Formats: sequence, structure tokens, C-alpha cells
Amino acid sequence: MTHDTVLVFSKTYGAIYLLVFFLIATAWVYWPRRRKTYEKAAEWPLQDEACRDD
Amino acid sequence: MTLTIERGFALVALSLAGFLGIAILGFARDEMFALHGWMIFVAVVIGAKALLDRFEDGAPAVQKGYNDRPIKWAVVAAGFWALLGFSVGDLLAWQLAFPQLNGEAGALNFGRIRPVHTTAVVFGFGGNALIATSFYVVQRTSRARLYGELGPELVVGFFNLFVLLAVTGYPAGITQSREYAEPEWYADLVLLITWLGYFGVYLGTLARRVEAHIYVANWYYMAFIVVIAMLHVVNNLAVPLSFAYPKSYSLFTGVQDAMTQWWYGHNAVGFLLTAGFLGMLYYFLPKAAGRPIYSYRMSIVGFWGITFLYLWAGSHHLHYTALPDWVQVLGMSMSIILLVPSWASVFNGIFTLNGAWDKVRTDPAVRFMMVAVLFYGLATFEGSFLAIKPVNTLSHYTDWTVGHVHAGALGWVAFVSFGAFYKMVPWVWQREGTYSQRLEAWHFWLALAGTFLYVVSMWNSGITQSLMWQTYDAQGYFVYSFMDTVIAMHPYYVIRAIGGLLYLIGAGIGAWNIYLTIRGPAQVTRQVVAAE
Repeated sequence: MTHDTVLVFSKTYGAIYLLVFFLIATAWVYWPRRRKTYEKAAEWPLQDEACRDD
Repeated sequence: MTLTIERGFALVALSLAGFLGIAILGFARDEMFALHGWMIFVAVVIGAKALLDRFEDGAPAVQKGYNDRPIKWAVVAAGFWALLGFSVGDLLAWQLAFPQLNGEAGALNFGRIRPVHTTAVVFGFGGNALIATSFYVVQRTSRARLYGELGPELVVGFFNLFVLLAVTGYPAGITQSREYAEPEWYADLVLLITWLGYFGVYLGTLARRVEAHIYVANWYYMAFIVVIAMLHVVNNLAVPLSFAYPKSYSLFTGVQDAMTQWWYGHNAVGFLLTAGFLGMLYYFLPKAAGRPIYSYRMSIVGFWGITFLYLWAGSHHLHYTALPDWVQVLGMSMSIILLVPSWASVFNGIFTLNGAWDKVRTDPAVRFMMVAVLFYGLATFEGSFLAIKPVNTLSHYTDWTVGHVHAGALGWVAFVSFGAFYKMVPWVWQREGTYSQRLEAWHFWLALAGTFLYVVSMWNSGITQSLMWQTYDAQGYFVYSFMDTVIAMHPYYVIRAIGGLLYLIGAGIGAWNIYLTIRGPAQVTRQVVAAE
């Protein structure tokens, strides 16, 4: 792999890959169906934290 | 005699470490190197004894409740390394202000003990704080006991062995001269084995979780563990000379060597000093404030933003060097974009306190964490700003960078750790609360005053330095000699040393408060759940 190949990859596919990944991650997180899961998770530290073995 | 998966891994890990220690002991011709061989060997013997005791006990009994024992060890170790690291740091500050304090002793001059300071605070204090809190958080958010009976304690023990090997080696000149990665190959191997164990314990505990979703703090802790493993392995690829001497040579040369080092160096900041401590923040701040994270979903998007962007930002440490220009611009661009997820975390932290701002006034631990978020915002803005190439022409190689680093280290990393410890220590030791909130408040104000003196003096020093270096007369000659700039720094260096001293006194008060909390009476109304 030459220096120029790395350069072209970084400027094109690298940037596109990062952008696409970020958009997918954001859409996944903000998908309305997952709202309840995250709201419930946010409350975890505030709930009773007894170990399930107890 | 029952061989479980965990015992098998422990046996292999201890055998590898034991082989390393014995080999060094057998061949070492350097005194300190031989002493390090002994240290590794003794640690392995202690670990092997604990393992054999368990083999004799037969099959492991089903243990209930949370395992807080390794957390307690890591808290104590963090306190020890913090006091040592801050003390050495302040000694270094006085040495810079008054160079005669370097004395004649080679082992105690600035160059030898500067890495003692950085290793003690970054790995000794920061690393142990992360191990302690991550073991606490993963258990509570998974509602499950820590994976393994011996593994978590071996992780804490061998991690501290690594720090001990590092800081005792530097005064004797044992270093591979890579910033924040100074320990030589054998200490690196000890850390590698330890880190794999840490990863296994963490994953094993997550696998026992009650809910399918993994709480966001664990994402940040996992990113810290995984990326540090990757950085540590790649940056420390080296060829040891022999088992007779500690010296090794890096596998990389020239600009590739520099790039590898700063890819490591900046991501140590990104994943050890940022991602790990964000994990700490996202558990202890909501818990202490009694409020859920303001936007849980934003914390996840922030996670992916930080994880992907940080890995590209390291080249901003090498502006205007032999590094190809496009790599420098790439590092600059990513550093600027990085401000977005960083400040998302800042706003998320601040807004989490909505409805609980009274606690900032009444609870010094919450105040520590609130101010930590503000310093995180300040340091990340400053970091993005300094990464811009024209700004870097002014700031690079000056004390401004030192001030920037300490705004993050003193104001963000240490403050969030202090806040988390003031909450976690009473919970883990089953106490009603800390020994004294008044002492907590003293710690807070001394630490804040010390941080301000440090950071502001270094900003002034750095900018003055740079402007003096870049002042030319009509003929194009330098107006100031280098020595002129050194003399001009003296008052700022004295202020910095005073700031460091205030910070150290505050930490001493904090350590005393924690000690008295641990020594204090146990909580009587709460069920004791920790099975030890």
C-alpha cells in the first residue's frame, strides 16, 4: 500500500465511512421505538441496586 | 482440586509472569533490573499462593452479593499514588522555579523524576480510580457479582506492580523515552497480561447482567479498556536487547515512530483520561444528584462521536514537523469536530443537575463533579483551539500546553475522581457518609484555588514565552535570548508551584478524610450485602 493510496482512501472512503457510521448510530439511538429502553436505562443508577443473587 | 476457566487463565498468566521474573533474575546484570525481577517474582509467588489455596478448597462455592474487596484495594492504591504523584509534581514545579533544587543527585533531577510524577498520577491515581469505579459500576448496573473469585484482585495487584516497576525504574534511568509510555518491555508485558485479565473480568461481569441493555457508563469503560489495550500493544512494539539489561529499541523509526507515539499519547488522553472518566461521571453524577442523565440518548451519540473522532486527532501533536501535511490537517480537522461530542457531554452533565442545584451548594462531592464538568468543557474547547495549525505556531513547545494538560488533569480527571470517591467510599465500606463534609469542602476550595493558580500562570507563561521567542528586530535578529525567556518565566513558575502546593494540601486533607471514613463506625441500618 503506497502513501498515495492511503491518502486517497482517507479523503474519500474514510470520510464517507465515518459519516455513514455516525448517521446510522444516531438514527439507531433516536429511533422512537427505543425511547422507552433508554428512559428505563437512565433510571438504573437511581433504583435499588441489590445484587440479583441476594 | 477443580480447574475452572478463570483458574486456568490465572494459572497461565501467573506462569508467564513467573517465567519473566525468573528469566530476569537469572540473567540480569543491572542492579535495578534484577530488583525488578525480584518484584515480579514475589508478586507471582503471592498470586500463586492465593490460587493454590483456592485449588485446595475444591470447587468454588457460589458466592453471593457484590465483590467490593478489589475495589477497596484499588481505592487505597489510588490514594497512595495520588499523594506520591502530587508531591513529586510539586517538587518538579519548585525545581523549575529554582533550578538549584535539582542538586547534584542524578536520580532526583528533573529529567529522572518527571515521569515518576506523570506515571504516578496518570496510571497510579487515574488508573486505580478507573479500575475501582469500573468494578463498582459494572456490578451495580448489571445487578451481578464481579466475574471471578481471584481475577479481580490479581488485576488490581498486578496493575500496581506495573506502576511500581515503572516509578522505581525511572530514577535509575530505566526508560524507553516515549512520553506516558516510558516503562520498558518487561513492565509492558506485565501490564499486557493484567489488561487482558481486566478485560475478561469486565466482559464476564457484563455477561451476567440482568437487563439486555448495557448501561452507558459501561460503554465508556469498555472503550477505555479496549482502546488502551490496542494503543499499549502497538506503541510498545520493541526489540529487547537481552535479559541482561532492560534496554529495548522501538520497532518504528523516524516520523512513523513519532506518529505512533502521538497516536498513542493523544488517545491515552482520549480513552484513559476522557472516556473512562466520562463513564465515571455518567454513573456517579446522576446517582449523587438523584436525577437521571439529562439525555441518555445524547450520551450514547456522544460515545460514538468521541470513540471515532479521538483516534484521528493524535497528529495535531506533530504540526509543522516531517509528518505529511495532509495528516496534520486531518488531525486538526478531527480535533475541531471533536468539540461537538465533547460539549454534548458537558451540557448533558450540567443539565443533569437541573432540579438538584441545591446539592452543588450543600454537597461538596456534587460540587467536585459539577466543576469537573466545567473544566472538561474548558479543556476540550482549549484542546480543539490549540490543534488549529496557526494557533499551534503560538502555543507549541510553550507552557500553554502544560497549562492545558493540567486544566484537564487537575480540574477534570482528579475532580471527578474526588467526587466519585467521596460517594463510593462510604457505600463500599458501609458507612453513613464521609467522616466530615467540612473537610471535603476544604479539599474542594484548596484544589480549586490550586488549579486556578496553576492554569492561569501557565497561560501567561506560555503566551509570554512564545511572543518573546517570536520577537525580531528590524534586521531580523532575535530580540531575546533563550535565557531571557527562562528568566521571564520565574514568577509564573513560583505561582505554579504554590498552586501545586495548595492542590497537594487539599489532597492530603482528602486522603485523611477518606482514611477516617474507612476507620469510622459501620452503618447499622443497612443490610451488609458485600460477601467477602
